Amino acid sequence: MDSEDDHHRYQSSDEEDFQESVEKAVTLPKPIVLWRTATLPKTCSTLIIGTAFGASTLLHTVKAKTLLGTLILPGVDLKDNTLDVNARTNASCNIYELDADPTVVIIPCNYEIKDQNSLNFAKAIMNNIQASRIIILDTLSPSTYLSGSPDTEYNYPWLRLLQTAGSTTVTKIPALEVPNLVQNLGAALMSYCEVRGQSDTYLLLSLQEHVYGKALTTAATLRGLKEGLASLGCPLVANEVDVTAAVVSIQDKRVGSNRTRDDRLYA
Amino acid sequence: MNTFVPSPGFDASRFKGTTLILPSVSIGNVPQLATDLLLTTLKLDRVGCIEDENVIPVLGPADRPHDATASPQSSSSLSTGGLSLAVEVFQSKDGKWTIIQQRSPTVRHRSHHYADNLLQFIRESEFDQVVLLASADGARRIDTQLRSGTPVRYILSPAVPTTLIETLKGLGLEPLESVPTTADQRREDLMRLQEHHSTPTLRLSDNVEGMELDNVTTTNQPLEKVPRIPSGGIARRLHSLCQEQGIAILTVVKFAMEGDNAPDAIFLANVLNAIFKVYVPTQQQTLDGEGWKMPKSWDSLYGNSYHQDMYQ
Repeated sequence: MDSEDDHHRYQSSDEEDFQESVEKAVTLPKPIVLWRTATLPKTCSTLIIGTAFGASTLLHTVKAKTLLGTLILPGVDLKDNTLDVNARTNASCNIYELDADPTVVIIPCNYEIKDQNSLNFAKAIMNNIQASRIIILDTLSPSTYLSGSPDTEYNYPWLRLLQTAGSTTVTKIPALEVPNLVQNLGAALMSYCEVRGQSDTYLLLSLQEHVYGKALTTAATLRGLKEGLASLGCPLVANEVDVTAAVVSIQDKRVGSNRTRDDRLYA
Repeated sequence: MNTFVPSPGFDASRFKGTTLILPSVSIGNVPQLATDLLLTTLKLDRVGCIEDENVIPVLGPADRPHDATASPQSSSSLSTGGLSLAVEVFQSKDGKWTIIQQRSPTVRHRSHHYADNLLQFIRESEFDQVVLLASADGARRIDTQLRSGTPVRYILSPAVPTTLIETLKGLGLEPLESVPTTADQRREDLMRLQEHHSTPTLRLSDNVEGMELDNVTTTNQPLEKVPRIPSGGIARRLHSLCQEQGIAILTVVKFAMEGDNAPDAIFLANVLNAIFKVYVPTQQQTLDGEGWKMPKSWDSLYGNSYHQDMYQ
């Protein structure tokens, strides 16, 4: 049975909807980057971005970090947010550098960025930060993963990797198989880098677990991201993240933990 | 705004004089599936992408031709490399064909912006002609379309060369019939206008039935010159925009319904090939019975396979 969401697949599928589309046209907000010191493109050796499906919570647990700036997305829901950047309830998208290695910049993106805002958000990051290597941490829902076989066993930590053309091949982590697709900020960031020929850009995906019928980011998911970081040549960050603390944040339903992922790109 | 981003080293002036083939995301995703066949069979090179904020970003491993001899575990993209993006632009090595593949839908209530941006890209690239693939809801065919033996129709802009018109007639293809709006649709349009313009003199009455839409709104006037394509996505809008700009555009419409749309896609690709001879197999390929190559993603069109044991 068709639902409104199914109709959305063919957005303006009928010409009668086109006028409605013109009248209800939405404006896509452009993110704003605020730096603590001078406004300039930040250069770094490694940029690590954690998306708001669990990975941001992991990066948020790094204690020894210095705030450089923040990304503001107009219209985002910041209810119950706090100004304390280290608080577990922080719902911002702050930019930090690692105290142990200031050439490493991390962005725990605690915003729930909608698909339509992803590209502008990715551009805001990439236009303001120039990195030699970029690692995006994201999670994959088991309900959307297509293995092509009914006998797939999920042994956690379960990781998959996507990399841009020209990137150094990583053999320790299997590549994501056809025809699986990634959405949201991870897709937008990787697409931006791929089309511009930026090498050494990786999207690390850790499988969420099915818990009581829901796809949730668990300790196993986060351990996978931690191990993946080490495999991608970031042992420093891998040692700094605290899986246990991240799990507590997720279980307390803190922001930046288990965002509801809209898995239905095609119904 | 032209949202085309060229791959490093590609000069966008190479689009000039080529034929652009692009799909409209429409019912059954038939145009996109047909484009998959073109890309996999012709082995085209990606020359850039349309980086448009009005299209939902997606990303995946590059979709290569299906290898029936490969084991399921050997589907890694590392050996072949590459990523598939939301809207990619490909070009043939001989420079004759430029093909756009779109893998995700447009953002809700932003499709008209996407169509406008596509038009800008088409205009600035100076393509020789544009071929727009679309599918229409087969359940909304009129009687003449149901009785017709061919489930394909076309729409031409006046700028299309006469040779193409002759080719279409020679193949027995028919132009898409212009279906008049129903009384309900006219009533809904007027209600929408009344809310939008707050014109007190417009009242719903039995007189509404006899009113012409062209007299009521200027926004839809160019659209009315192009037949309606039910569930055709942005096809009608894009065709009418190109037609207004004097661009030679041919829209090929395949009637389809949701279900197993692979045969629909093969049919549409065959029609396209009959018109334009995009894929000309070598003598050896013909002897071997080689036809369209299907990408690996088609193995999972309907999700994971399942254990047959559960039905015993």
